[in-house]
Amino acid sequence: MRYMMNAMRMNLRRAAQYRASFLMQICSQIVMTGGDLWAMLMLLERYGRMGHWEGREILFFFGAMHLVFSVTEMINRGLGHFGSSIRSGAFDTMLTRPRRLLTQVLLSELDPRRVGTMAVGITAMAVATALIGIEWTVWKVLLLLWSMTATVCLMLGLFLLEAVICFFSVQSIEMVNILTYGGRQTCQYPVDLYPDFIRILFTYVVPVALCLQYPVSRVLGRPMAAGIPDGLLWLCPLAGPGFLALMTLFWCFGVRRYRSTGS
Amino acid sequence: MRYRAYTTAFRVEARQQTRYRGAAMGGIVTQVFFGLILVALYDTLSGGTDEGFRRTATYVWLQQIFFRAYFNLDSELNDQVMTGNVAYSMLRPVDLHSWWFWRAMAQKIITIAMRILPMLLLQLLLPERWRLLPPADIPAFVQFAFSLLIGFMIICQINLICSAISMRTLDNKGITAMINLLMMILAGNIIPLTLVPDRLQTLIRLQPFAQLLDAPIRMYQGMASPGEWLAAAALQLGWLVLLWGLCRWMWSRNLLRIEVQGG
Amino acid sequence: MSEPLIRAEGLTKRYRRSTGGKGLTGFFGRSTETVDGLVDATFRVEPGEIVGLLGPNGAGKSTTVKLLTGILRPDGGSCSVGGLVPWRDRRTYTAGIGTVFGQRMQLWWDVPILDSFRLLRDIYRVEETAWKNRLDELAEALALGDLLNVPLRQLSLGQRMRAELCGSLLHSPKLLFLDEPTIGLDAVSKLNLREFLLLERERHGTTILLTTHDMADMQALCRRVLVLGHGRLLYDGSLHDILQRYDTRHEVRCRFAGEPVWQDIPSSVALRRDEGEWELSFAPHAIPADEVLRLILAAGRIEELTLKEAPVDEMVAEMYNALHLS
Repeated sequence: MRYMMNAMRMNLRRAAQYRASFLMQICSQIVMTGGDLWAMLMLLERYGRMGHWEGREILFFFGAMHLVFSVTEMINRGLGHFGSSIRSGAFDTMLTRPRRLLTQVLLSELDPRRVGTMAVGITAMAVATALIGIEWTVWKVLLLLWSMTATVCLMLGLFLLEAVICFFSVQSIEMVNILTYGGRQTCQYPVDLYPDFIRILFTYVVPVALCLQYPVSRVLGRPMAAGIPDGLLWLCPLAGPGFLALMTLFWCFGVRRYRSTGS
Repeated sequence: MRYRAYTTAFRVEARQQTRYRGAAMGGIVTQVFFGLILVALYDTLSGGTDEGFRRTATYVWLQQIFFRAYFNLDSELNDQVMTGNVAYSMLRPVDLHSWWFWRAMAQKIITIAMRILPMLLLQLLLPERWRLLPPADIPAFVQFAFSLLIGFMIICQINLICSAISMRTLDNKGITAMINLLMMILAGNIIPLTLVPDRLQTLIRLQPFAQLLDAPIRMYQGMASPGEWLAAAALQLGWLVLLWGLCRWMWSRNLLRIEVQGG
Repeated sequence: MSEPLIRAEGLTKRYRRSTGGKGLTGFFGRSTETVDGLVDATFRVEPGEIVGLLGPNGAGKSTTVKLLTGILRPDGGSCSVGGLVPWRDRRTYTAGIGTVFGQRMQLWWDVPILDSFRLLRDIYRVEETAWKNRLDELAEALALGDLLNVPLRQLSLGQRMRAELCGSLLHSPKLLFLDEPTIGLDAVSKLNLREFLLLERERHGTTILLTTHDMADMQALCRRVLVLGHGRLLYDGSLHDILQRYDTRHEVRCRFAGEPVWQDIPSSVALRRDEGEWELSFAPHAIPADEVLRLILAAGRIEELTLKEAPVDEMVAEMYNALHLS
């Protein structure tokens, strides 16, 4: 526990060392999310609505996805750079320390710059809430929190998958971005806007829709055309932690292989 | 004979780039996936208006095929700028600005040459409705090719201007990230400029980033009249001349400064 | 005799390296060849020893270090250190060892080194007062007192290496691995480092395993060496003895008053004239030194005479040659 707190403080201090660059990078993070936001507004301006969703509802989905993704990125930076950790020998160093490897990797690089994009996500959700006039109840808040936490787990699982692939081949890494960054790109809009194969991919294979969008649609009080049985609402987000657990097993397999091949 | 050094810079760099074929393949799959998501989304949003959607899809695919080249940064120049070693290359009896310019051009052109065929072949896997349309006619294709080349030249100048600024500030991350993001938004990668509301569109077309890929794509799809083509081509050339001049001026000033400081 | 600290029996590690085939073929590992990392190595290390690992690049030194630190898992044989199996009991085991790699820094790059030391305290679960005392002791011995609040990146290479050593010893490990710790260091830093290591061993009885290409370090620190080549353990014993074996060239330079008259020079002695001096080189195992000296005395009246051994690097080169390692 103390290790965790100290590691977090350390990451903050590291960021603070380069203050000017830090602010600049927060700005560019905001511009990046801003770019997606701009694209969304342009589309709404041209088409008025997206499928059966109104603009303000789209804005809520958008905010939720970007918030979840930036929280994940804040935690997972070490996984994101895992390929270079292997090459530089930083991972070997972790192997010579008496702590769980995954803990060390996750704590090695927290990224406080993501507060910028987090703020964009939260703002989008707040504005959307006001525009829609959502009446918040305890259940809705709990459902939203649960589903967002679960989605963070899911995204972490995806980044973990990416890291494990680094054990095997560093070259194929750009392809795995399809699931992480492609997932963010796709799921900033409700999946029922997409044709079946994309919808199924992001509902059952990479269950973003189960974890995040389906519960969000209930919070908004709107049905979602994703073909998910109604009664399982609170169970659906379990797919996120489940996915993460599966990927943790895969991670252990990867570490085993790394230690026996030493490649 | 005077230009031998620059053609050599071009050739050597071109051969260097072909080494990264493996990474390029991963990139292509990613690019196609991202394109697919966008096309699928626009298909839903356009709600069956065929003519408009197919033009948009073509726009998206051309962006996906060519945009990657615009992102390439010359990492060697970058390293030299950050370490200050750029001063040493003054020992070579060549015009530095032209030297780095031709290297950069080689990088862009080879990046595209390696990607274009696989990207076009992958089109065949798509449902016909989502595919890239051929150019409007032969003159349109010729216009497109020339315009694309000018687009490459413009981005190379922009990159070199960034390097010139980094030479002063010695921080390249901030400025590169910013330029890349602006480029994604303003060059029509995140959302086709043709989908931006009409009034804004005329304005946005005037800025330099629109000359990179938006102008060539519009020529590919066929201009309404020779006059329109002339105006677009003149605008592109105008930006090229302006940025070229600015860039040369900045480089000569910087190098002068290095000389004065004694490296 | 006490129980050995490190006990390696038939320790073996082979690598599969893919030959050609990138991307997907490389991914599934179709065409591979086996490379010997370490084959059938058996050795013991007693507590408190300083043992050097010697061998040309690619001989298996890093593999040995990686196996003993628990980074890699052996394909065959066994090794136990202090009763633990490094790769199996990784978390218990690594709490009791320290590692320093000259080629890469293990402390955090951007923060003051004191912050790194605090984090290491938490990683190794060192109790606060014990940590404080140990830090004071190490900071004094390594002259780090004024540098604790300086970020690692602003330190010189020598200072960085001292900081790394301090970091690796904060949890008072019984066993310390040093992989080329003096690489790139200047003469003063090297001397200080050696002195510190000897002091550390004297005070705490720390066992040290050292790899280095710097023979001066090796001679100053290790009495015993393990010589590795092509993944095999070729020699285990005294450093002095093995060097003697490959000490193939002694040189005598002398100046005579007047022209010397050489008589019956055997073929094992090479005679060379260099300006006004004469140089005789010979292999000590082929002809005894007193024999050579007699030859010189018989040749004329000596004005000046110097005797020198071959540089140690040449002995090592000779040894690698003889063992077919180069």
